[in-house]
Amino acid sequence: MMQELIQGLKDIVGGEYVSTHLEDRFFYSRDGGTMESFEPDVVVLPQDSNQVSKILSLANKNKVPVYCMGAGLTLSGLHRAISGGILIDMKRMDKIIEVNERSRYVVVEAGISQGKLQAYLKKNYPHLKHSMPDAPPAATIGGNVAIHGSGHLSFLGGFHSDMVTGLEVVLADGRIIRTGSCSVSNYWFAKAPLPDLSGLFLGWFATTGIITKVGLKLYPAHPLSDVRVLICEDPKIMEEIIFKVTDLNIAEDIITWMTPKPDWARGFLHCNVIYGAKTKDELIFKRDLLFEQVRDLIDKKVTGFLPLLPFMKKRFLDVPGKDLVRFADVRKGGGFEYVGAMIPTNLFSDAYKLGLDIAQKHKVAYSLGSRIIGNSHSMMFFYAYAFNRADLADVKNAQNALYETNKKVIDIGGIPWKAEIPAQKEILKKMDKNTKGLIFELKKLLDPNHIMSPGNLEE
Amino acid sequence: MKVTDILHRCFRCGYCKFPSNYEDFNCPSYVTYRFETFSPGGRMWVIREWLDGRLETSNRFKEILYSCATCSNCVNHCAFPDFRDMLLDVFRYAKEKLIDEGDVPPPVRDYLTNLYKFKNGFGIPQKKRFEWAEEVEDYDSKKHNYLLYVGDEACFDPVANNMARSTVELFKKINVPFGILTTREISDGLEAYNLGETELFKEIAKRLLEIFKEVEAKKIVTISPHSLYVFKKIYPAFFDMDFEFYHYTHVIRENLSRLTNSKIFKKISYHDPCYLGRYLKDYTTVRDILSFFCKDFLELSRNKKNSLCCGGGGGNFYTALTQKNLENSAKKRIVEALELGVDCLIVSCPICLVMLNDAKKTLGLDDKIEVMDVSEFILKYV
Ligand SMILES: Cc1cc2nc3c(=O)[nH]c(=O)nc-3n(C[C@H](O)[C@H](O)[C@H](O)COP(=O)(O)OP(=O)(O)OC[C@H]3O[C@@H](n4cnc5c(N)ncnc54)[C@H](O)[C@@H]3O)c2cc1C
Ligand code: SF4
Ligand code: SF4
Repeated sequence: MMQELIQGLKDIVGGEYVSTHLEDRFFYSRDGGTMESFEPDVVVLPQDSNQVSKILSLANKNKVPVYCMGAGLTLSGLHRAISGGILIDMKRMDKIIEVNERSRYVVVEAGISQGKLQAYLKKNYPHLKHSMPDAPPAATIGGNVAIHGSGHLSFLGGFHSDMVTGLEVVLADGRIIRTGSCSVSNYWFAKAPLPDLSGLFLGWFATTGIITKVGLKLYPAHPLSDVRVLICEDPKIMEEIIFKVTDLNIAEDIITWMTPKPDWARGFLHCNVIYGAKTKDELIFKRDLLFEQVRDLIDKKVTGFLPLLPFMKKRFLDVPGKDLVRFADVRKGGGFEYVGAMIPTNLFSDAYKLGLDIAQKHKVAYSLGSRIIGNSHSMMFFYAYAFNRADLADVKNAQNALYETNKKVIDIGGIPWKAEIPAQKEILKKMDKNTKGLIFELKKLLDPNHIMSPGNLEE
Repeated sequence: MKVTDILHRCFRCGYCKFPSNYEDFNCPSYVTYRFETFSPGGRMWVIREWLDGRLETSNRFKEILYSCATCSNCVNHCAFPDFRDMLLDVFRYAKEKLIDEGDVPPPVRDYLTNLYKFKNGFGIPQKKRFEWAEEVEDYDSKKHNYLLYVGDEACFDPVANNMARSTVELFKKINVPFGILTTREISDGLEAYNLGETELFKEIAKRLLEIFKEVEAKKIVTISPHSLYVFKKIYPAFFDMDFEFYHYTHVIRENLSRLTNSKIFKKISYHDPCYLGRYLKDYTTVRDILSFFCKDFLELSRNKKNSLCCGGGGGNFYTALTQKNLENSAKKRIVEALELGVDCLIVSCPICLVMLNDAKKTLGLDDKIEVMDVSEFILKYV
């Protein structure tokens, strides 16, 4: 049967884009994090929605599991083929279909990289931009919205899933459906005012369908930008700083970070406030406003602005920033993984303390931080732990620290984001029973043969 | 640091697949195959598995290794400055091991056999090397300032040969005293080195250096940036030597005043070859020449250290592994040049000249854009 299936896949996408080679199955079986490998039987690279539709029909008919990968950069191993079967790599689907300048949205194929979209807009629509995550630029738009990603405009616009204006999705049986305005009109301007079906596919780890096109909000790209960094030693003061800065509402992006390296940063909490402007005067005006907003804390000598050398400024303004990715080499070992936890902003101090305790307990190299989302309604608090891939005990240690972090995050009232499978189970354990029941019913309705990413969102 | 010390340090983040502005994938083998295993990070991970004995040698593995065009985009763009300079050493280390096992893909084997037997990768008897150059003088150190080292591609490939002929004609026109090794030139050996056949490389390099010494060469000019690179950077790692090396475009730039500065009204652009650009960091020589003649010089957005490789390096000119599928970087390059609106795409490497001309033909765009090297361009339009 597998041979027939593979021939079927070759007929759909062309032989050169189907592989059962051990090398490919090995590489696609895992990611850069700590999760163990699960090999797909076959990797397939479709080029358009129709091909995805045919692949799913075929898999559904044969009841073969299907997993979906963008760039595989979650570090939580979410694309791994837990039950074997077909792995779809989406990156050949990378076309920019439409930019609607006046309504400020773009329609793209889901496998397009963040980097390609960023470069295209810079070149062709320099006054527009999309919200980039700090993930490596290979990360796909589809993979990122599918997990409720966040990025450089998340303070303005919320989660990247909030920035979705519509989706094209292929269901398990091969049907191609649309969500949002594009299901009624030629325009992909909004999810409202229709029943919001996009929610059936965002945050579901590809268990309900494969997103093939995304309508995404764009925002004004200011010609000038600046970053100011506030520092303090007390997490309670940082909570205060966040409240004040977000109340001012001038920032595009607000990030906190706490690392033991470099030495000068150890023991301090930092808050990067990034803002844009059309003119120099506006930039200075915003800088002065920011100063006034925290003046009382500065007067009390509990915070201050970090003097920034030009190279530091550039690093902080780089989109995507490379600092976090380089954290992977602090143990000279090619790896880190992070718990990104969605937490209400008022829990900042608890979240911070939790991270320090766990890092100390497990003696793991750490980097902590958070991105403030949507006017401070929540934050993505990250607990990144580095490990040396060549040292299995070190990998296991990081894995334990991650597992414990996930559990503790739930205990304090947060929810692990892009949760590894063990953490998905912890979330479901804590979830309201009726809600969980509805999730399982919806999954069953959309995927009666249970072929879509089996192993995910399961108890 | 040993190459095996860095294998596990690849984070598979994929920065290495891109140019600086991330506009599209910039690893030619990944552009062709599109499986992650054909990206630089993919190679790192697969090689580690193979060296640790968890993957066996297979045709796929060999294809993964040998379809690397050694373009060095990954070396320039990997996010980890501490070890990125060693990426190509890792790939070469694995290829050396395959050579030791005697287990390489047939086109690689054929290339190396030709090189061994014929002292050129084309498998053509050496006496035919300079059939096209009967009028060119044998190098005489007393008479000639420069020894022109033409190299395999520009001697034997008919399209690349136009570049050699034009360079010879142009040198004559601007009175550059030069000669060639009419009976003695052999391959520079770079592709043997890149393909992991280090012993053959050393043998060839040693012989070529002896020839250079025998004829008392001092200043050696190459047509191919690949030759220039191997002479300047790899030979000295193995042998003591004392020569000056130049690219033919360096000589043209030196002698620009001997050419009329008639402005050419053509829209042109320049494709930076990996071995002159990313490897030797020379981004100005050709631009100086072209802007001397041309009003409308346009830059491709992937230029200089971000140039999109034509896919011909690392032996792929001979093995065609990067040309296996319908999509490839050479075709992308032609489309980019057309989208830029140029009539003429200039190159300065015989391999690029052939690869891009082939791509243009395959795309059926022969009448839409010219692809020519710097000398051909000057001779035709100045
Ligand atoms: C250094 C670093 C920094 C990071 N910073 C950020 C950040 O600032 N913000 C942020 O949001 N993330 C960040 N990440 C996490 C992650 O890399 C990104 O969220 C990334 O965008 C995920 O996209 P991907 O293409 O890699 O998805 P994948 O990992 O391939 O997939 C993610 C999930 O979505 C599913 N999926 C993928 N494509 C589709 C599709 N087309 N349809 C349906 N389901 C699909 C997969 O099955 C999987 O469950 C970071 C990661 C790293 C390594
Ligand atoms: S080679 Fe460097 S840039 Fe490429 S995947 Fe590995 S670590 Fe990342
Ligand atoms: S040298 Fe070029 S072809 Fe080879 S892996 Fe690096 S980017 Fe790809």
